[in-house]
Amino acid sequence: MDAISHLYLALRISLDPFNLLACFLGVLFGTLVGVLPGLGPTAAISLLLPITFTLTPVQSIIMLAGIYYGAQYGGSTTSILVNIPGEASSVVTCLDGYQMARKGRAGPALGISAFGSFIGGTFTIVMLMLLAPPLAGIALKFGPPESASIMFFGLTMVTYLSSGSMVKALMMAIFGLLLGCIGTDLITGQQRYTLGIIDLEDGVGLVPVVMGLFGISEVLSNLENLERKREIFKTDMRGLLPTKQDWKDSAGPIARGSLVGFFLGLLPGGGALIASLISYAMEKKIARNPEKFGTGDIRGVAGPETANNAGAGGAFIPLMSLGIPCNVVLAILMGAFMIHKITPGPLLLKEHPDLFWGVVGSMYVGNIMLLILNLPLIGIWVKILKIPYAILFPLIFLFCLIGSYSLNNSLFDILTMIIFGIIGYFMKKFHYDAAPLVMAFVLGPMLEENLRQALLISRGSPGIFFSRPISFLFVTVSLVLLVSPYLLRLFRKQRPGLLIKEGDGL
Amino acid sequence: MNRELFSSVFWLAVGALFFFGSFRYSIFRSGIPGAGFFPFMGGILLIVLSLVVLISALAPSKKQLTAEESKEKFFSQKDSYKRILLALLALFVYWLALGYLGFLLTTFLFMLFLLRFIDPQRWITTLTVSFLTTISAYMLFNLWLKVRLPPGIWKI
Repeated sequence: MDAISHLYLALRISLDPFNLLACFLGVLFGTLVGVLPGLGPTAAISLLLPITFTLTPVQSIIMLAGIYYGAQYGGSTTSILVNIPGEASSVVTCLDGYQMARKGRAGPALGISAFGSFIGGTFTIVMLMLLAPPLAGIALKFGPPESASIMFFGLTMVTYLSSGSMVKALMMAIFGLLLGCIGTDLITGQQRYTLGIIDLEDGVGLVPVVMGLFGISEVLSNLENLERKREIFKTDMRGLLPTKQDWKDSAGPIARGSLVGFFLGLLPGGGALIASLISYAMEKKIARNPEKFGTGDIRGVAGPETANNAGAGGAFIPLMSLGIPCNVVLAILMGAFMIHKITPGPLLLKEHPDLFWGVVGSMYVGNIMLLILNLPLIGIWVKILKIPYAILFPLIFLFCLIGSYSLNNSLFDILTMIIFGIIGYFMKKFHYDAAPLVMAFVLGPMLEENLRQALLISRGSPGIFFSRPISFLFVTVSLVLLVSPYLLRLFRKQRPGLLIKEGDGL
Repeated sequence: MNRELFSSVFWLAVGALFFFGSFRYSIFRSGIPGAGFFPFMGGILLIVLSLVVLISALAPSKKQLTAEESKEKFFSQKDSYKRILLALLALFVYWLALGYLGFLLTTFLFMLFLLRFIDPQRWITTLTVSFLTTISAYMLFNLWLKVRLPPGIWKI
């Protein structure tokens, strides 16, 4: 009974003409930016964030969610056609997708990745509907120690799973936390680190920070190399639909990809990228003829493409029910929630049921739109790929400039964005990952508030985190994760052979 | 120049700024963590981790490795730095000029500069793209999304 009324609510809100339009524009822009090489979902959502602020909260979140999963779709198109992953989670799609394109089977590759994404996406939406409400119910009983420890765990996982050096990832997470301290202290109302600048009283803006880190810095590093000509394969519409044999081959990978993607999506720091990597490795291992992978095997496209969309959807569950963003895109989405004065988390379902169910409903609708949109629009996406970067990059710059200005009509925000563009550029050069920084920056103020309230309850004793079972669990696991690389290094020195073998598996 | 050295010193300085800054706020008073508590702890951690990177960059076993690394060029093409500096210059000038020259003129000149002087396009392309972008950005943001873009001294 309850489920039916929820479904009704979801459909009613998502089928409202304006919400439908928001969803449509979201998936369209998302795919567009996802197609453009070098601009993945993170950049897509950062670039388009300001546009959504003039909308109502429901429309805005529907549109941003659409941009997110739309960009996942778009990313696979460039992987297959030009061997350039539009975003990180489509890297493995290049392996077999591009080979399929070279063999003249670009159509089925694009087709199966669209269908696979659709199936994976739909599966996780159903799981989101089923799992988020009970999880939120549990989370409602959490006090400050539990909330603080779960946020701590989330940040730890992100640094643990981030690419490159873990020490550097930790440094970035801490820098993000410190950045979050700038502005008015939530508990005492004191001004911290504002240097007397009025624009800093509300803190450093999220929009200029992410636009700088993911927009400007990306362009700056692309400007180092003048681009070479890309080879794009022609596809004709008739060949787009996968054959019966393709479907037979892909059924297993799609089913497994949905499950793998979903579970990894739930994990903080997991999400789409790892989901697609693991799905590829798993399919290769299961296959009776693994040597065919890498030569244009449709299974190598179907599995990862399904998994990355399932992962993208799965990540919504912890955000909507616990208020924990599992990856950087969802952290930005969370920032968008908060700009609309809505805190995602257990109270979201209770206080804004229209928003929760509206977004869930729009994800169904959006996935169907993407499927219908993308198959015929591939020709247009290919044309967009041909726009030279020399014309594209000034447009990206302009978008960032207007975007960061528009939220507060503030020239200071433009300066902030340029500075973070420079910082982000050097971070790329010196191999510092920006994802932990942004996640910590978004979570920071809440983590600090909960931490300080927990310590207030315990009168300053950190024992409170260990005396409650839930916070004990999360804090202990986090501490183990933080220490484990060093333990492993000691272990490796003693028995080098063992670990290298494990490393070969993937 | 050693990259690890450079970056770790930078983060060390950032950590130190937040660490010393935190003494201006209450850190911990009668068992209650104050406004300075969080940046104090964060500052310490950032300093310690930067030192870890710094020390391992200076360690004799790594020296050879980093020496090889520094031999690899910082920029991948000879004139890379020129394009990056020009792009940054354009961004800063945009920021400075926007309030005076207004959105329309600043944007047009900004696009013109980037299109013509970084990876030079033909004049006809440059002018067309700059013009169309300026007009459509104005329509999208000012007229449709109701962002009040700076009119500048012309009041348009």
